[in-house]
Amino acid sequence: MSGSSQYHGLATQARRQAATAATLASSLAGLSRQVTATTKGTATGKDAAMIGHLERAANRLKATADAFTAAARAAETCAQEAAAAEAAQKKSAGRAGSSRSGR
Amino acid sequence: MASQLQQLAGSVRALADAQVGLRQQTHLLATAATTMSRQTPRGSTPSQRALDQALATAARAASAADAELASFGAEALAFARHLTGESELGTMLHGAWNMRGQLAKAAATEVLPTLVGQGLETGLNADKLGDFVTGVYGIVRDPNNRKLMGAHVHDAVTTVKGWLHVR
Repeated sequence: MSGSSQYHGLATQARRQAATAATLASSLAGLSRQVTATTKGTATGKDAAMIGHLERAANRLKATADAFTAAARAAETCAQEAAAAEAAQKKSAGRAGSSRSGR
Repeated sequence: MASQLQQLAGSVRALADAQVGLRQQTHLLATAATTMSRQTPRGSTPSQRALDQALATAARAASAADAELASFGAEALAFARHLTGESELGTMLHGAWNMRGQLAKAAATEVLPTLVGQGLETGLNADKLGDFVTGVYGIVRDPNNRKLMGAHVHDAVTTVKGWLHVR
């Protein structure tokens, strides 16, 4: 497999994982709201700590989604760069071949 | 109150169960980032370094989310157990409270009239007995007890007062 297609594959995977992480982050944020509503009026310090874990987990998953999106973008750039390098290599190999046959 | 606590405990327990599935998915995300990082061809161009960095960040963030979810699960289960305990205590207290009401009713409708009757028969001053009954009436009309005992005692004391007056 060429370098560019390897990077293309990575970009696709990263986009898929970014979508999964974003969905999870959104579910957790909903869950956090649900727990807040459930414990409303009876919440103690411990309950607040429990909700805090949920909120932080949602934020970390949002960060995961953002990182995967950044990885996808970087992988696409890498794929373009690799494709350009591969094309240049082909071109120079072709030139070298034609100059050999010309002799 | 007890049933509300039971309901709340059930909801929180369901949330604690849900986090197991969420943790599996979060763990998969962290694993995916690490695997992708290993698959990435090594290179030193700015975009290759950006890709490495982004995948490492994703792996770290997903692991941190996993750890938060684990802590949440443990605390949610403890919370649900705490609520269930409170709910059981609530049921017991509710039962005891009902029993207290029944005892108060028995005291007001049976014991008090009997005492007053016996007091009159043994020659006690009717006015003093009247004061005693009024005092009891005052005690049971206390806001803390009134709701449970008030109606029963009010009827009984009225009966006894009428009885004393007739005597």
